[in-house]
Amino acid sequence: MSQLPASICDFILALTFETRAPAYLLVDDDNRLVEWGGNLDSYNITGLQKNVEVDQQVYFLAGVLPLEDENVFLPSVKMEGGLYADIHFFRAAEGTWILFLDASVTTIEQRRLQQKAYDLELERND
Amino acid sequence: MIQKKICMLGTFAVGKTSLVRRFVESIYSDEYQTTVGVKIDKKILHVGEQDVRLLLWDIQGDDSIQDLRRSYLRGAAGYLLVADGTRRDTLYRTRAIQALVQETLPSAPFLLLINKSDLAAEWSLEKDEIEEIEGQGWRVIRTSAKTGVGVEEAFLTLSQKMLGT
Repeated sequence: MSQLPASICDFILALTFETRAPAYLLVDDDNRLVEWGGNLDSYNITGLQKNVEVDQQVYFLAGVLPLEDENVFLPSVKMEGGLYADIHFFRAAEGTWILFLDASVTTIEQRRLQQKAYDLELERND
Repeated sequence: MIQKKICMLGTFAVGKTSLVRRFVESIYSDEYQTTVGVKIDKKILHVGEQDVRLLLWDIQGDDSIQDLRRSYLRGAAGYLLVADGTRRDTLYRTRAIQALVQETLPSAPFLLLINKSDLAAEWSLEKDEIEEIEGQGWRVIRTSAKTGVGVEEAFLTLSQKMLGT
């Protein structure tokens, strides 16, 4: 798998847990929720029920599933609680995994720079 | 309940976020706050005989249409293209965006919203430019996120098209 030394892999894993609030959903081929875990509260995803269609519980997933062969990446999705998430969808033997990673730090910085650039452009065009 | 995903598309500062806020929360702010990534809101709308849960994907308005991230479009049932009546270039950018979106969502219905109708005196678009677009079969609605003019009509019209009613 990885050519990185074990200590580096461990560090990356610890860093991810510490800074990116990983959370996941596992969905079967009928889009029903099979399993979930991690820091879902951070993303305001609560009250989940097993064997119920996931897009009836996590509304913004409507239309995104099912996956065909390809993986899907939705960067910087603003969640109801105000946090930004990078959301990765990928298939495995057990179903479709949906992985949430906190992207707030980078997205807020990107937003600050973008705001400045667009404000300047709008001023120039006035 | 039926759920339909709608994407808000257009270049930056045309009022996509303000239109969604007007529609969902009935509020408006003059302060321009850029969107990074995507913000998703929901609202239940009564269309004909049924309630539909609309999922509104307010997508970052990039300066370059090439930056439009197609994964955000996945599963959309329809889309609203937004231009700013006071900035002529935004209309032409919506046409380029539509051409790109067409590749991903070839059969999804869409409308063109020309926003900021409260500033109609300052519009840089000529009437015949809008008529030319309408002549190509595009449905155009003049909107104002500030006053609310045309906003409900836009979402209702698109919902009707998505549901085929």
